[in-house]
Amino acid sequence: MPFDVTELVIAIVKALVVFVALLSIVPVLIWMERKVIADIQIRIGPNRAGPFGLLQPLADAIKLIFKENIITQGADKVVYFFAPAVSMVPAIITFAVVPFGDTAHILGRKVLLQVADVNIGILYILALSSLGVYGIVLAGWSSNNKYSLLGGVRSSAQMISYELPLGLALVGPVLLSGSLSLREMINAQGRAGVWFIVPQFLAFAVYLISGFAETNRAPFDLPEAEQELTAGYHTEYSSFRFALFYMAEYVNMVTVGAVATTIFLGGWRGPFGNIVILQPVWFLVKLFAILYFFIWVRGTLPRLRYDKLMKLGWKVLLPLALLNLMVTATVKALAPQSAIPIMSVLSLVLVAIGVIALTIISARSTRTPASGLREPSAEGAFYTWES
Amino acid sequence: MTVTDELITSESFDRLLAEAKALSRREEGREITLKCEPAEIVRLAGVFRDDPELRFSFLSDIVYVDHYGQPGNGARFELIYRAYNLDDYRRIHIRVPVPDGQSVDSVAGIWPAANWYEREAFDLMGFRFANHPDPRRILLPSAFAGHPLRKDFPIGGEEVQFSVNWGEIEPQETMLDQCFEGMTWKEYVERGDDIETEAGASPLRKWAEEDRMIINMGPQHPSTHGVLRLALALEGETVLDAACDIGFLHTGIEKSAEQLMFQQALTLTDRMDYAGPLGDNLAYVLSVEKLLGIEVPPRAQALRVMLAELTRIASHLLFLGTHALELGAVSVFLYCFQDREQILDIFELASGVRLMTSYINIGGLRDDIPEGFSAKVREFLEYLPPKLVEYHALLTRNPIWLERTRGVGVISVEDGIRMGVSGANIRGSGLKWDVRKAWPYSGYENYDFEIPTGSNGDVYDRYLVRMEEMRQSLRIVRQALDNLPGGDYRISDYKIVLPPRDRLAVSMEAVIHHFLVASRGFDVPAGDAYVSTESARGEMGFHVVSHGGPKPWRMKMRPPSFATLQALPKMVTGGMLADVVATVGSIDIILGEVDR
Repeated sequence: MPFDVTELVIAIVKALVVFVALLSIVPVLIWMERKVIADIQIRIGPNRAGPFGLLQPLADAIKLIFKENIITQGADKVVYFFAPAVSMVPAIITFAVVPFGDTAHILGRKVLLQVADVNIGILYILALSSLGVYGIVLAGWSSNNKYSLLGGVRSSAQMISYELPLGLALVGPVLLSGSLSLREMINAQGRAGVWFIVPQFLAFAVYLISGFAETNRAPFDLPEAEQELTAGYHTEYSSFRFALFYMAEYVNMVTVGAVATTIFLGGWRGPFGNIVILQPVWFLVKLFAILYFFIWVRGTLPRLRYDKLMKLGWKVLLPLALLNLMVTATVKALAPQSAIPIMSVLSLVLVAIGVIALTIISARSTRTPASGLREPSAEGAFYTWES
Repeated sequence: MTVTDELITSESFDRLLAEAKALSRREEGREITLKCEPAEIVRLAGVFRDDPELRFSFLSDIVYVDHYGQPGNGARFELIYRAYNLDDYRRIHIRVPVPDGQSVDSVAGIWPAANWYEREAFDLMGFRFANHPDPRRILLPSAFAGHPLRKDFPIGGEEVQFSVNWGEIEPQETMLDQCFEGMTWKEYVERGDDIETEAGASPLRKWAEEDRMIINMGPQHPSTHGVLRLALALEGETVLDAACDIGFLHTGIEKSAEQLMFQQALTLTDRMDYAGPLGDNLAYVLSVEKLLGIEVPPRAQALRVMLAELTRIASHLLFLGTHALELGAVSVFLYCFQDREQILDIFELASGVRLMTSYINIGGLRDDIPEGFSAKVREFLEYLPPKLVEYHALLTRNPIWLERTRGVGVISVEDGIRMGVSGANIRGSGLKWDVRKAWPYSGYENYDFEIPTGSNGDVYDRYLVRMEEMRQSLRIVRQALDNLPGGDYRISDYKIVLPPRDRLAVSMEAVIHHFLVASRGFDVPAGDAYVSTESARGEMGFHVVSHGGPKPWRMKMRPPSFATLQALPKMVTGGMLADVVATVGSIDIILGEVDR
């Protein structure tokens, strides 16, 4: 293919647009998180800066930038200096392969609504998202603070452990679509007429839970567990460097959400999907639905303990992901053409069994057997006593 | 009830012990007082703990008094050991007169809880305890000069630098330099948390020498409930050993109280347990009333009970919120605070103040409840139960919550008793001991309520016990409200309480009473009294000593959090770092009360 300057310009413009869009989603996301959490907690949330407090993230960012940049005594200055960037860069460039629309026709040219259509998109995502952990580990190590160190160690163990179920969960959809390219996977979902969340529900659940851990979000926010490790790996960071960590966390969240949207929720597909201008809108709607779920979970659940987190990752999520992979592979090998319908039925059965099992379990555990106390019997009534 | 005024010495030991035993078998011997000379205290304590007829296994507190310059007391100092038999709720007070300069044998080998009590007595009054396992200061800085609770310790008088007298007054730093023996203030501050010198961490020195990670939690850590400092020796994230360092919030409340009149000292009690101020009000007031020998009217009794129980609910809600916050369930924290606001609104309605109410006064209440109070409380009685159901739904069966709390921070009943743990913490381990049932006060015997107990002594059981206690407290409040007697809200002895405001305009006598009570206070007969109450945190009581006159000679409180905190290293050792946070939250300590 001859070198085409216009192609280069288009690529640069696309990269810039995605970069800017990603960085401007972060303040919106922060604002949304604070508002949603406030709503869950019966508070009002930010409402001073700008209409509905919309300018609050901006005010926070300005405040952070103008703060003194403190470097602790005994810190490894070079590493300390670069760690926030190491954490930020992979978070941003991961987004390059995520398609946010089909092909647009601009001035007679076909423009892919995606920075780069790499045919190994999923591998690229997995590779880069593992790099982010370096930033956290190095930050924790170079701060010369014991809490930071513990936070860094926690996060490296956590992120490495959860890489496995995360990656394995994505293999199922790859088998069904027969491609590693994200664009091709969206097309496969279009051809099948069903989003992969249906035939791959188990994979979706495993991916989402691992995603919480990958992004260090509650209930897996151990590396920065405020109540245990003050602020974990970024305890000693201030000013813009802290802002970078803060933003990296949210960009990571967007990336995990975007990958989930693309692989499991049909990406930019939706009603009137052939209108190109609507495709990014559908993409954003789905993305924010997942992000809302992230925020909702944070507002509800307590934090796991470190060893339990490891147990969950290795003993529950990894076997589940392997099971899903095995079943999908078997079905695909036996019935290559009707793999998706069969998997859909299996997955619906699985969900039904899950719901029934949960109902039975919760009905059984009305009594907390380990102690002499019983659960409340009726609304507001004092419960009966056994001594 | 005193067995005899005779001093127990090595000669009279067997004879007087036999008398005490005989008395303790009878009904009037449920509370006995003995006098013992310092040399015999360990032997006596051993007998009282181990004798199958006595079994006084719980050391509630060691009260230390300086009778400096008071006639009629042979020895200058006095120690009062207060121990309980928790099988049939008997109490014993062992009074030990100690001449100046004499050391006393430590009873920490008999009652391990005595460890901190004796350290406190050494720190604040300079008692020397022979064979003490850990003879260091506890509340004051390790380099503090002198023992401030001694009556001859100079108080006040230091002039403060202002712009008008800047040159004339010694700068504060120079004054501070004199406080630290052998080093300047700056040097003291700058040596930081060097493990070799820092008082709180020295039990961990052996771990530091073995190159384990020593981590300091607090005093500026988000989840140590105020200013507790915990030094932890870690192997990975496993806690090998822990040591508490307290005293960062020490404000000398006991010393301040000695400078104030009885009714003024009341305001200090609010400031100790700032999560449950009315409970401490009540404990203090009951002791003073016992000294005065007055009985408050039934309406005041009922209102006191109601307010104390509302305080308990408020405190437990605070516990639940912060505990959940520490385990990462941030939302529950805000829900609980919202509920607690309702109770603070009730307090505000009654007393005009939300937190430091000082509403329960000597002789009754400060004021009668206003109109609309009952309606507001009834509203709250309807409001809270559905909320509690909601918290159960959010947490009690939540798998993450169970994983974080079950089997974590375990303490057995035996260890709890040994370490002086009381209240919901020991009930979580399974001991059915509640002061409201064991030694009822303020008419608690007239209310129908249960004492919830757990069985595992872990974080989860302590949580469940407190959840249930809130329901039981609601029951008590409802009963108090339904049967609220009419009549006066305080006694009508205007030598103790202020005469009503409207009488001042018409009665000269009222003016005189008002003037006298407000300006010079009221005389309290000489003697000492202790009433234990069940505060939200455990057994709370004030040992008030009077030598006549309007000011307490000594006010020694028994802060439940202080004793409970002593057991913390035992609970967290062997657990994970995250469990430390869960455990500290679950024992519900208030540092204002620990440090006073």
